[in-house]
Amino acid sequence: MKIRVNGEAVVIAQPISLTGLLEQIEIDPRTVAIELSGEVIPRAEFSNVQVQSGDSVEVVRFVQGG
Amino acid sequence: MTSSELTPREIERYSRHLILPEIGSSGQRKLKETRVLVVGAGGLGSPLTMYLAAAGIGTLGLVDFDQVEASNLHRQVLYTESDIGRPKLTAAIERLAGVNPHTECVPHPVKLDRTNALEIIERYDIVVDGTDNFPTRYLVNDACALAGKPNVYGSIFRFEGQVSVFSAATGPCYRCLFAEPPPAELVPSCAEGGVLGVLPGIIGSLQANEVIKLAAGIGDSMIGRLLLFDALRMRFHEVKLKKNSNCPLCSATPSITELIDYQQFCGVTNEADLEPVANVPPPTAAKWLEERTAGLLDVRTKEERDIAQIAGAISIPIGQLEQRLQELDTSKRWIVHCHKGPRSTRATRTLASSGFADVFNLDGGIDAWSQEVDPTIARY
Repeated sequence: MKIRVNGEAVVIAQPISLTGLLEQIEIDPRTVAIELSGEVIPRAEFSNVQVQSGDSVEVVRFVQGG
Repeated sequence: MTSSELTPREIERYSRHLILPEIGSSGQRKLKETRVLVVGAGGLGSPLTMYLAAAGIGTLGLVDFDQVEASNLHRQVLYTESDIGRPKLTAAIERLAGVNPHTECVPHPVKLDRTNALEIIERYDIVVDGTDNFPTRYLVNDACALAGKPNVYGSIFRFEGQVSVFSAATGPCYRCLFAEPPPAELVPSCAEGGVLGVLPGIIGSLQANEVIKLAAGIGDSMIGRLLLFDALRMRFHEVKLKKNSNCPLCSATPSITELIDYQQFCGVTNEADLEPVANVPPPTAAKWLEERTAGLLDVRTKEERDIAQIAGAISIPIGQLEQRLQELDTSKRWIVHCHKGPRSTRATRTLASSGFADVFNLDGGIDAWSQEVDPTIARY
């Protein structure tokens, strides 16, 4: 099944938690904020929230430099 | 003639703005009446201040307390070779006076903190975040929300950039997206991870564009939108942001109603406050290595080792240290070094808590070694 991550298609085998998705795309969950269907998901909820086929996920890295 | 009316010299200077229907004389007068505070006169601050001054912003405040270093110059185009060692604000204000003598530049040579932020920010209409660390980013966000000022946000790392306008009165703030900071050691700074020199030129210019639109009251601002930029892939991606009803700062029931301790909130320990297990000055370390009474562990990245290295050091980047401890003899005395000390200080603690009894931090890192022991080693 297909989802969109930052606007690009990503294939997942089955519904997956946000933690599982981040693992699949090799991103440390402590270094990003996530929006799922327009809602910001608290970091503590990443392992409880499931991504389904057709979902749109925005993964925003913490960036401090200037 | 009121102070915001344009003089003949200003009319000549701004003529390409004045003939734009969207700006015109009234828009240009608004720019002249606007007071903008740029926090951070570094990579983002360079294009920001130069374009804002050139555009005719009337009052430009700058906050920075650093001095110009050689390693700034690949991206901080506000400064030149001859500025190395000078206070940034002294050099910046000279340069900006040449860019546009009609803009009044106000230096704030302080470290922005909870005791001075509101007092400084209240004197301006728009605040621009060009800082280089999370505690100051949360501070700027909170102070802007409390003072009711828009915060034109930009940040950069390696090849990636972000831009938005946080305006708690009408849209989301930084905390609506980034409610809690990341663990301090997981997100490197540009000094640790590097940054493409042109990147702040792109992101800072986008911030300047947002400031000019806000000041002139034109166009669609980036309030409620976050732009992600990837310079390697040359790709822009926009994320819609909305006010978070659980935001601790700008929701209807905020838990943050005054400025807090941002170092503590971000779990950041000041470099000076970090306590290594023990420090060894470079000359003493050199003696131990010569006598073969200690081993040397380098916890920097491969790229940093390619720039400069101390002969005989074992390389384990700090991110791999916990997994590779078995490569090191616990019974031996170890000297750990990085570039300037923070990472090796953390590494000494990792070693000490893993059964290493005789561990020292090379005080000042390879940078101090270059100055005190071997000047042929490049400084970076």
